Amino acid sequence: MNNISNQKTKDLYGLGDYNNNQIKAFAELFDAENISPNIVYDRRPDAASSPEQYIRSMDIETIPYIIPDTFAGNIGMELMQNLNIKQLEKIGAESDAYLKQTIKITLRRALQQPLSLQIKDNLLRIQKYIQYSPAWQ
Amino acid sequence: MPEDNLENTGELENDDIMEPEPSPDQINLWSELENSTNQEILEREDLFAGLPQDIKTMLTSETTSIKIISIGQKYGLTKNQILILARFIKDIFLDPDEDVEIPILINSLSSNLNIELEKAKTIFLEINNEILIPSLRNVPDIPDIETPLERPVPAVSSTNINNNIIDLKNPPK
Repeated sequence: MNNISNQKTKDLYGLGDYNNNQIKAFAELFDAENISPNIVYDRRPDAASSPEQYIRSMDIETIPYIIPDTFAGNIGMELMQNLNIKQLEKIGAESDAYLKQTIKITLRRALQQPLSLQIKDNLLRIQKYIQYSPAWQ
Repeated sequence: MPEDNLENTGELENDDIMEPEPSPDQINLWSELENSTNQEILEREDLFAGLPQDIKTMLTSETTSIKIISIGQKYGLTKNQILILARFIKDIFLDPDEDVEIPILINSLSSNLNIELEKAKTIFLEINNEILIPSLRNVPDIPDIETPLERPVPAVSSTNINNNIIDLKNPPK
């Protein structure tokens, strides 16, 4: 949902107000017109056909456009596990306060779940980075 | 176009408009966000957004986080003190004062970390040498007109420290 106050919003078309299935339907309209739906998925990768793969492949110039609603619920925790430090550095530098807060909330929730050693290691590295990064304070 | 014309042509009908229906997970997320995001956070983020790119890059890089941890551990700071140190480094750049006096910064660090002044000075100098100078030495002489520096670059040089002033208007080249 988009209730960002004085922060610059990157919420194209108010995509934060819609649920995952509605975003998928919206993206299909782009597809039907032979327009790349990536302009939608870059903001709501949770609606992509393979969300984890999509967010992993997002370049750092695009990553700040993600809308906080992407990280809602279980799918949000799974996407959190697929972010890397370079992407988070870019979010730290360019994104609004709400996305940063969302990342912190989702990270905390994700770390409370049973995780494989590899995923946990990645999340702990992310946690360490965010905790001690001046930009994220 | 008048509304009745739209109805006649069938180009836009109410059924075509997708009503927003955020999921319960989205509603929960935003409820938590509204509880955890106060005005201070928004204001600090606005100030941060206006900083020159090289300062934002320095404040954001993982290397900076690692150096902060390393400096904190070297001087026996607790985890909480290291978190305060990270926030202190950001605050240097968010300070609206154009000239920041080094003794005031060191006093502030000493007070925030609850450590002796001499130790705060040592830590401050190490932050300056290990984090600030290496990251900010390539400051361009002339700011890009397309992206004017909304905040002058407060790089801290040894010379400036000797003068006890960080000249935010005339950063060291």
